Amino acid sequence: MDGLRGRDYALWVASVLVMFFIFAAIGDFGNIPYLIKSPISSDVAYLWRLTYFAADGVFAVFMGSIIFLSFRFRATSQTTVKTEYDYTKIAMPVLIVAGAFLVYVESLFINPSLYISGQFTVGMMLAFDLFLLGAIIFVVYKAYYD
Amino acid sequence: MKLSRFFEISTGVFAAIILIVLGVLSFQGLIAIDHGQYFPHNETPIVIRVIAKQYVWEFIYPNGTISYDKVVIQAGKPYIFNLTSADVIHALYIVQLGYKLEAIPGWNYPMHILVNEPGVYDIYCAEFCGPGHYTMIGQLIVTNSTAG
Repeated sequence: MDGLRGRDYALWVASVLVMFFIFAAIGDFGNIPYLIKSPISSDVAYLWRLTYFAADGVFAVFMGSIIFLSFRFRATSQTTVKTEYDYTKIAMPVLIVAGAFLVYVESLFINPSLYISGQFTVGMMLAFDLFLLGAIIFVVYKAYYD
Repeated sequence: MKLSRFFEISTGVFAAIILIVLGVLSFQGLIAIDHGQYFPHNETPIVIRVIAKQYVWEFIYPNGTISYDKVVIQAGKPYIFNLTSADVIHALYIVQLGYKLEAIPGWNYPMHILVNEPGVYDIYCAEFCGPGHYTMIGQLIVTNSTAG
């Protein structure tokens, strides 16, 4: 690939490795703490760990590459956008505060022995997370590309 | 071959390798669980008949004793849960084993159980079986093999 030097390749690899570690750490390095000692659960745990690290590898390569390439080939010239009203000054803080609050509430629910009703509630909140993320992307899009 | 072309092809090849390896290992694990390959050869497994009904688990021990929503086994000993259903399709899900098996009317499916850790574990129905589905909860009680 043109324009990439040794230092760039090193940063690329580092970006991939960091993503690999983050993904692994989020999933407790492929451990399922609630499983008990049994040959069945050993098989299940082994397959889960294997699948998790395979997914981790795929995630790390793609996400690490996206992060590296978007920084390495970012636009260097500045562009100015004229808007009549800058709604982002209100919308963005509201969305970010709502997102932070939602993550805090979710953290109260998440524990290894969560019952099915709790899992449903967490699932609903995670759906709201996605909704908020979509709203933030929409606001940014409207601000700069409309 | 250009480097970009190599990466493009290797993406597909690595994805295929990962899927094949996971598929083969999963199949091996499934065969082991399905046939109880981990059972000790010198011990005969105890067969417990499990009949799923709306909305209760019925466990019938070899001596004829019937227990509802609760089954007691000994740690480290092999058991076969012969699973069937008396009405609609259910699924026996032992959460802490990470394993579930369908209970289908007219069919008997063996579930090869061997638990090494005493404790009380959750049993859920993992197949929507009617309005009372969420109440179909049982317990697997694993006692120490030296007790009693």
